[in-house]
Amino acid sequence: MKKLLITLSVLVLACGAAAAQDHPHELNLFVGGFNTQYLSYKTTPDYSNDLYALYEPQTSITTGPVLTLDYNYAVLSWMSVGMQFHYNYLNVNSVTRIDNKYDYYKSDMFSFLPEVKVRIPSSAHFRLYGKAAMGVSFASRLGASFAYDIVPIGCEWAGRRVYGTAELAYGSLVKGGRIGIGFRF
Amino acid sequence: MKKIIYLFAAAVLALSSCTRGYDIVGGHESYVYTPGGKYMMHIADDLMAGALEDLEIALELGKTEVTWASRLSGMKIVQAEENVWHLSFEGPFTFDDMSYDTVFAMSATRVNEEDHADWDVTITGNRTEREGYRCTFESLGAITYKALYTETGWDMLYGRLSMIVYDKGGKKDGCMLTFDGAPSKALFVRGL
Repeated sequence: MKKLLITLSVLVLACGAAAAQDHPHELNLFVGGFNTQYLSYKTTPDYSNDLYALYEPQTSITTGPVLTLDYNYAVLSWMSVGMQFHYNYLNVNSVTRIDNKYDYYKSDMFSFLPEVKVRIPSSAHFRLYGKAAMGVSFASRLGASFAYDIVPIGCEWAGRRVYGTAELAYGSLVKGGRIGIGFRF
Repeated sequence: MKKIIYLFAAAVLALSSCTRGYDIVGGHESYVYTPGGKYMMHIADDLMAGALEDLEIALELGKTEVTWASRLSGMKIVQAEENVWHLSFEGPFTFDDMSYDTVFAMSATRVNEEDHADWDVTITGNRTEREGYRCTFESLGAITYKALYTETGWDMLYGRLSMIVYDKGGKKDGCMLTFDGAPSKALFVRGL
Protein backbone atom coordinates (compact mmCIF):
# COMPACT_ATOMS: atom_id res chain seq x y z
CA MET A 1 0.00 0.00 0.00
CA LYS A 2 2.80 2.34 0.97
CA LYS A 3 4.64 1.51 -2.24
CA LEU A 4 1.51 2.23 -4.24
CA LEU A 5 1.14 5.65 -2.66
CA ILE A 6 4.78 6.53 -3.25
CA THR A 7 4.52 5.36 -6.87
CA LEU A 8 1.38 7.44 -7.36
CA SER A 9 3.08 10.54 -5.92
CA VAL A 10 6.11 10.08 -8.13
CA LEU A 11 3.86 9.69 -11.16
CA VAL A 12 1.95 12.88 -10.31
CA LEU A 13 5.22 14.79 -9.80
CA ALA A 14 6.54 13.43 -13.04
CA CYS A 15 3.41 14.60 -14.89
CA GLY A 16 3.79 18.12 -13.45
CA ALA A 17 7.50 18.19 -14.17
CA ALA A 18 6.92 16.98 -17.72
CA ALA A 19 4.33 19.70 -18.28
CA ALA A 20 6.71 22.34 -16.96
CA GLN A 21 9.72 21.12 -18.89
CA ASP A 22 7.87 20.67 -22.21
CA HIS A 23 6.57 24.21 -22.09
CA PRO A 24 8.71 26.21 -19.64
CA HIS A 25 7.15 29.61 -20.42
CA GLU A 26 3.89 30.57 -18.81
CA LEU A 27 1.75 33.67 -19.28
CA ASN A 28 -1.27 34.41 -17.09
CA LEU A 29 -3.81 37.19 -17.25
CA PHE A 30 -5.79 37.90 -14.08
CA VAL A 31 -8.46 40.19 -12.76
CA GLY A 32 -8.33 40.65 -9.00
CA GLY A 33 -10.00 42.25 -6.08
CA PHE A 34 -10.25 43.92 -3.75
CA ASN A 35 -8.10 46.82 -4.80
CA THR A 36 -5.87 47.61 -1.82
CA GLN A 37 -5.38 51.19 -2.99
CA TYR A 38 -9.14 51.59 -2.85
CA LEU A 39 -9.37 49.98 0.56
CA SER A 40 -6.67 52.24 2.02
CA TYR A 41 -7.94 55.51 0.50
CA LYS A 42 -11.63 54.90 0.67
CA THR A 43 -13.27 57.42 2.94
CA THR A 44 -16.90 57.87 3.65
CA PRO A 45 -18.04 61.44 3.11
CA ASP A 46 -18.59 62.99 6.50
CA TYR A 47 -21.44 65.50 6.59
CA SER A 48 -21.19 66.30 10.28
CA ASN A 49 -21.36 69.92 11.27
CA ASP A 50 -18.04 70.03 13.02
CA LEU A 51 -14.85 71.78 11.96
CA TYR A 52 -13.07 68.66 10.70
CA ALA A 53 -15.97 67.85 8.38
CA LEU A 54 -16.12 71.46 7.20
CA TYR A 55 -12.44 72.02 6.50
CA GLU A 56 -11.13 68.62 5.43
CA PRO A 57 -11.88 67.44 1.88
CA GLN A 58 -14.63 64.82 1.85
CA THR A 59 -13.67 62.13 -0.59
CA SER A 60 -15.52 59.51 -2.54
CA ILE A 61 -13.66 56.97 -4.62
CA THR A 62 -14.56 54.60 -7.42
CA THR A 63 -12.29 51.95 -8.80
CA GLY A 64 -12.13 48.84 -10.97
CA PRO A 65 -10.47 45.47 -10.55
CA VAL A 66 -6.69 45.09 -10.52
CA LEU A 67 -5.44 43.72 -13.84
CA THR A 68 -2.42 41.45 -13.65
CA LEU A 69 -0.15 40.06 -16.32
CA ASP A 70 2.14 37.41 -14.96
CA TYR A 71 5.03 35.73 -16.78
CA ASN A 72 6.97 32.75 -15.40
CA TYR A 73 9.79 30.56 -16.58
CA ALA A 74 10.21 27.08 -15.14
CA VAL A 75 13.80 26.82 -13.86
CA LEU A 76 13.06 23.55 -12.08
CA SER A 77 10.25 21.08 -12.42
CA TRP A 78 8.69 22.50 -9.25
CA MET A 79 9.79 26.13 -9.37
CA SER A 80 9.38 29.07 -11.74
CA VAL A 81 10.68 32.60 -11.59
CA GLY A 82 9.07 35.50 -13.34
CA MET A 83 7.56 38.94 -13.23
CA GLN A 84 4.15 40.33 -12.36
CA PHE A 85 2.82 43.49 -13.94
CA HIS A 86 -0.24 45.09 -12.34
CA TYR A 87 -2.45 47.98 -13.29
CA ASN A 88 -5.21 49.57 -11.28
CA TYR A 89 -6.77 52.99 -10.92
CA LEU A 90 -8.77 55.19 -8.59
CA ASN A 91 -11.20 57.94 -9.51
CA VAL A 92 -11.09 60.38 -6.62
CA ASN A 93 -13.75 63.07 -6.14
CA SER A 94 -13.47 65.40 -3.23
CA VAL A 95 -15.27 68.46 -1.95
CA THR A 96 -14.23 70.84 0.79
CA ARG A 97 -17.46 72.08 2.27
CA ILE A 98 -16.22 75.27 3.86
CA ASP A 99 -15.50 76.81 0.46
CA ASN A 100 -17.45 74.40 -1.73
CA LYS A 101 -14.25 73.53 -3.56
CA TYR A 102 -14.39 70.46 -5.79
CA ASP A 103 -11.43 68.38 -6.86
CA TYR A 104 -11.16 65.36 -9.13
CA TYR A 105 -8.23 63.25 -10.11
CA LYS A 106 -7.52 59.82 -11.48
CA SER A 107 -4.70 57.92 -9.87
CA ASP A 108 -3.18 55.24 -12.11
CA MET A 109 -0.96 52.69 -10.45
CA PHE A 110 1.55 50.48 -12.25
CA SER A 111 3.43 47.80 -10.35
CA PHE A 112 6.35 45.57 -11.31
CA LEU A 113 7.14 42.63 -9.06
CA PRO A 114 9.69 39.85 -9.63
CA GLU A 115 8.21 36.62 -8.32
CA VAL A 116 8.89 33.03 -7.39
CA LYS A 117 6.25 30.38 -8.02
CA VAL A 118 6.38 27.00 -6.37
CA ARG A 119 4.32 24.04 -7.60
CA ILE A 120 2.79 21.66 -5.14
CA PRO A 121 2.66 18.00 -6.31
CA SER A 122 -0.70 17.53 -7.99
CA SER A 123 -2.23 16.06 -11.16
CA ALA A 124 -1.70 17.13 -14.76
CA HIS A 125 -5.18 18.64 -15.04
CA PHE A 126 -5.42 20.21 -11.60
CA ARG A 127 -2.24 21.86 -10.44
CA LEU A 128 -1.68 23.68 -7.15
CA TYR A 129 0.91 26.37 -6.49
CA GLY A 130 2.02 29.19 -4.22
CA LYS A 131 3.68 32.48 -5.16
CA ALA A 132 5.57 35.32 -3.54
CA ALA A 133 6.56 38.59 -5.18
CA MET A 134 8.21 41.85 -4.17
CA GLY A 135 8.73 44.99 -6.18
CA VAL A 136 7.68 48.56 -6.63
CA SER A 137 4.50 50.49 -7.46
CA PHE A 138 4.29 53.85 -9.17
CA ALA A 139 1.09 55.84 -8.72
CA SER A 140 0.18 59.28 -9.98
CA ARG A 141 -0.11 61.74 -7.07
CA LEU A 142 1.09 59.06 -4.67
CA GLY A 143 4.62 58.40 -5.99
CA ALA A 144 6.62 55.19 -5.73
CA SER A 145 6.10 52.66 -3.00
CA PHE A 146 7.16 49.19 -1.98
CA ALA A 147 4.87 46.46 -3.31
CA TYR A 148 4.45 42.84 -2.40
CA ASP A 149 2.08 40.05 -3.25
CA ILE A 150 1.66 36.69 -1.60
CA VAL A 151 -0.39 33.83 -3.00
CA PRO A 152 -0.61 31.15 -0.32
CA ILE A 153 -2.56 28.87 -2.62
CA GLY A 154 -3.57 28.94 -6.25
CA CYS A 155 -4.78 26.38 -8.74
CA GLU A 156 -4.72 25.76 -12.47
CA TRP A 157 -7.16 23.44 -14.14
CA ALA A 158 -8.17 22.06 -17.54
CA GLY A 159 -5.57 21.85 -20.33
CA ARG A 160 -1.79 21.72 -20.23
CA ARG A 161 -1.33 24.57 -22.72
CA VAL A 162 -4.36 26.71 -22.03
CA TYR A 163 -5.90 26.63 -18.59
CA GLY A 164 -8.02 28.46 -16.08
CA THR A 165 -6.43 29.75 -12.91
CA ALA A 166 -7.60 31.13 -9.58
CA GLU A 167 -5.67 32.16 -6.52
CA LEU A 168 -6.00 33.67 -3.11
CA ALA A 169 -3.89 36.80 -2.83
CA TYR A 170 -2.79 39.15 -0.12
CA GLY A 171 -0.52 42.14 -0.53
CA SER A 172 -0.15 45.80 -1.29
CA LEU A 173 -2.17 45.51 -4.51
CA VAL A 174 -4.95 43.08 -3.79
CA LYS A 175 -6.52 41.72 -0.66
CA GLY A 176 -8.73 38.86 -1.71
CA GLY A 177 -8.03 36.89 -4.81
CA ARG A 178 -7.62 36.72 -8.57
CA ILE A 179 -9.07 34.69 -11.37
CA GLY A 180 -7.74 34.39 -14.87
CA ILE A 181 -6.58 32.47 -17.85
CA GLY A 182 -3.12 31.08 -18.59
CA PHE A 183 -1.11 29.92 -21.56
CA ARG A 184 1.97 27.69 -21.46
CA PHE A 185 4.44 27.61 -24.33
CA MET B 1 -7.50 119.26 -10.56
CA LYS B 2 -6.60 118.51 -6.94
CA LYS B 3 -10.24 118.89 -5.97
CA ILE B 4 -11.30 116.40 -8.62
CA ILE B 5 -8.72 113.89 -7.35
CA TYR B 6 -9.94 114.38 -3.77
CA LEU B 7 -13.54 114.00 -4.89
CA PHE B 8 -12.68 110.90 -6.88
CA ALA B 9 -10.78 109.39 -3.93
CA ALA B 10 -13.69 110.18 -1.59
CA ALA B 11 -16.14 108.59 -4.03
CA VAL B 12 -14.01 105.44 -4.29
CA LEU B 13 -13.78 105.21 -0.50
CA ALA B 14 -17.50 105.76 -0.10
CA LEU B 15 -18.31 103.16 -2.72
CA SER B 16 -15.93 100.59 -1.27
CA SER B 17 -17.47 100.99 2.18
CA CYS B 18 -20.96 100.76 0.67
CA THR B 19 -20.26 97.42 -0.95
CA ARG B 20 -20.09 95.73 2.41
CA GLY B 21 -21.57 98.34 4.69
CA TYR B 22 -18.94 97.68 7.34
CA ASP B 23 -15.20 97.79 7.82
CA ILE B 24 -14.01 94.20 7.52
CA VAL B 25 -10.97 94.06 5.29
CA GLY B 26 -10.31 90.96 3.17
CA GLY B 27 -11.93 87.57 3.35
CA HIS B 28 -14.69 86.05 1.25
CA GLU B 29 -18.25 86.87 2.17
CA SER B 30 -21.21 84.59 1.72
CA TYR B 31 -24.74 83.94 2.76
CA VAL B 32 -25.16 82.85 6.37
CA TYR B 33 -26.57 79.44 5.49
CA THR B 34 -23.34 78.19 3.97
CA PRO B 35 -21.69 75.46 6.09
CA GLY B 36 -19.30 77.88 7.81
CA GLY B 37 -22.04 80.45 8.44
CA LYS B 38 -24.28 77.78 9.89
CA TYR B 39 -21.50 76.71 12.24
CA MET B 40 -21.21 80.27 13.59
CA MET B 41 -24.99 80.58 13.77
CA HIS B 42 -24.90 77.57 16.10
CA ILE B 43 -22.70 79.60 18.44
CA ALA B 44 -24.97 82.65 18.27
CA ASP B 45 -28.17 80.65 18.39
CA ASP B 46 -27.75 77.32 20.18
CA LEU B 47 -25.04 78.39 22.57
CA MET B 48 -25.56 82.11 23.28
CA ALA B 49 -29.34 82.26 22.89
CA GLY B 50 -29.58 78.94 24.75
CA ALA B 51 -27.57 80.41 27.61
CA LEU B 52 -29.87 83.46 27.63
CA GLU B 53 -32.96 81.25 27.79
CA ASP B 54 -31.47 79.39 30.74
CA LEU B 55 -30.56 82.70 32.36
CA GLU B 56 -34.19 83.87 32.13
CA ILE B 57 -35.38 80.58 33.66
CA ALA B 58 -32.74 80.87 36.40
CA LEU B 59 -33.87 84.41 37.23
CA GLU B 60 -37.46 83.21 37.44
CA LEU B 61 -36.49 80.30 39.69
CA GLY B 62 -33.91 82.28 41.69
CA LYS B 63 -31.13 79.81 40.79
CA THR B 64 -27.41 80.45 40.29
CA GLU B 65 -26.58 77.24 38.48
CA VAL B 66 -28.33 75.52 35.59
CA THR B 67 -29.42 72.04 36.62
CA TRP B 68 -32.51 71.54 34.45
CA ALA B 69 -31.05 71.80 30.94
CA SER B 70 -29.19 68.89 29.41
CA ARG B 71 -27.12 71.07 27.12
CA LEU B 72 -25.84 73.70 29.50
CA SER B 73 -26.10 71.77 32.71
CA GLY B 74 -23.61 73.19 35.20
CA MET B 75 -23.58 76.71 33.75
CA LYS B 76 -22.84 79.15 36.58
CA ILE B 77 -24.71 82.43 36.89
CA VAL B 78 -23.42 85.35 38.94
CA GLN B 79 -25.15 88.71 39.20
CA ALA B 80 -22.49 91.41 38.68
CA GLU B 81 -24.67 94.50 38.74
CA GLU B 82 -28.36 95.33 38.88
CA ASN B 83 -29.05 94.23 35.29
CA VAL B 84 -25.81 92.45 34.49
CA TRP B 85 -25.10 88.74 34.89
CA HIS B 86 -21.95 86.78 34.24
CA LEU B 87 -22.40 83.27 32.90
CA SER B 88 -19.69 80.64 32.69
CA PHE B 89 -19.70 77.13 31.33
CA GLU B 90 -17.16 74.35 30.88
CA GLY B 91 -18.15 70.95 29.54
CA PRO B 92 -19.42 69.07 26.52
CA PHE B 93 -21.84 71.05 24.37
CA THR B 94 -23.80 69.61 21.45
CA PHE B 95 -24.23 71.10 17.97
CA ASP B 96 -26.24 68.86 15.66
CA ASP B 97 -25.41 65.68 17.58
CA MET B 98 -21.69 66.48 17.71
CA SER B 99 -20.69 67.01 21.30
CA TYR B 100 -17.32 68.60 22.09
CA ASP B 101 -15.65 70.25 25.06
CA THR B 102 -16.68 73.85 25.16
CA VAL B 103 -15.68 76.68 27.46
CA PHE B 104 -17.19 80.13 27.50
CA ALA B 105 -17.62 83.20 29.66
CA MET B 106 -20.56 85.40 28.82
CA SER B 107 -21.81 88.70 30.13
CA ALA B 108 -25.50 89.51 29.66
CA THR B 109 -26.98 92.94 30.26
CA ARG B 110 -30.77 93.16 30.45
CA VAL B 111 -31.91 96.03 28.27
CA ASN B 112 -35.57 96.16 29.33
CA GLU B 113 -37.77 94.81 32.08
CA GLU B 114 -39.85 92.41 29.99
CA ASP B 115 -40.15 88.82 31.21
CA HIS B 116 -38.64 87.81 27.89
CA ALA B 117 -36.16 90.66 27.66
CA ASP B 118 -33.80 92.16 25.15
CA TRP B 119 -30.18 91.50 26.03
CA ASP B 120 -26.75 92.87 25.20
CA VAL B 121 -24.33 90.00 25.28
CA THR B 122 -20.56 89.66 25.14
CA ILE B 123 -18.83 86.32 24.98
CA THR B 124 -15.40 84.72 24.76
CA GLY B 125 -14.97 80.98 24.45
CA ASN B 126 -13.44 78.03 22.73
CA ARG B 127 -14.39 74.60 21.53
CA THR B 128 -12.08 71.59 21.08
CA GLU B 129 -13.10 69.16 18.37
CA ARG B 130 -11.79 65.99 16.74
CA GLU B 131 -8.60 65.54 14.69
CA GLY B 132 -6.87 68.49 16.35
CA TYR B 133 -9.45 71.05 15.27
CA ARG B 134 -10.52 73.78 17.67
CA CYS B 135 -11.91 77.27 17.52
CA THR B 136 -11.97 80.36 19.63
CA PHE B 137 -14.89 82.73 19.38
CA GLU B 138 -15.69 86.15 20.77
CA SER B 139 -18.13 88.96 20.27
CA LEU B 140 -16.69 92.19 18.94
CA GLY B 141 -18.52 94.59 21.22
CA ALA B 142 -21.95 93.58 22.46
CA ILE B 143 -24.36 91.50 20.40
CA THR B 144 -27.94 92.63 20.95
CA TYR B 145 -30.69 90.01 21.14
CA LYS B 146 -34.11 91.57 20.57
CA ALA B 147 -37.36 89.76 21.28
CA LEU B 148 -40.11 91.35 19.21
CA TYR B 149 -42.71 88.74 18.42
CA THR B 150 -41.70 85.53 20.13
CA GLU B 151 -41.88 84.33 23.70
CA THR B 152 -38.99 81.95 23.20
CA GLY B 153 -35.89 82.87 21.26
CA TRP B 154 -35.03 86.26 19.82
CA ASP B 155 -36.11 87.70 16.47
CA MET B 156 -33.45 90.27 15.77
CA LEU B 157 -29.73 90.26 16.34
CA TYR B 158 -27.28 93.15 15.98
CA GLY B 159 -23.52 92.96 16.34
CA ARG B 160 -20.56 90.82 15.38
CA LEU B 161 -19.22 87.47 16.31
CA SER B 162 -15.69 86.51 15.35
CA MET B 163 -14.18 83.04 15.24
CA ILE B 164 -10.66 81.71 14.63
CA VAL B 165 -10.29 78.11 13.54
CA TYR B 166 -7.14 76.13 14.33
CA ASP B 167 -5.99 72.69 13.26
CA LYS B 168 -2.86 70.80 14.29
CA GLY B 169 -0.73 73.15 12.22
CA GLY B 170 -1.97 76.38 13.82
CA LYS B 171 -4.43 79.00 12.60
CA LYS B 172 -6.44 77.75 9.65
CA ASP B 173 -9.11 80.38 9.18
CA GLY B 174 -10.59 83.57 10.54
CA CYS B 175 -14.35 84.10 10.30
CA MET B 176 -16.86 86.80 11.15
CA LEU B 177 -20.62 86.78 11.36
CA THR B 178 -22.28 90.18 11.20
CA PHE B 179 -25.87 90.57 12.36
CA ASP B 180 -28.03 93.47 11.34
CA GLY B 181 -31.58 92.36 12.11
CA ALA B 182 -33.10 89.05 11.14
CA PRO B 183 -30.56 86.23 11.68
CA SER B 184 -31.25 84.89 8.20
CA LYS B 185 -29.79 88.11 6.77
CA ALA B 186 -26.53 87.78 8.66
CA LEU B 187 -23.38 87.98 6.60
CA PHE B 188 -20.65 85.40 6.93
CA VAL B 189 -17.07 86.23 6.02
CA ARG B 190 -14.17 83.80 6.11
CA GLY B 191 -10.53 83.88 5.10
CA LEU B 192 -9.71 86.77 7.46
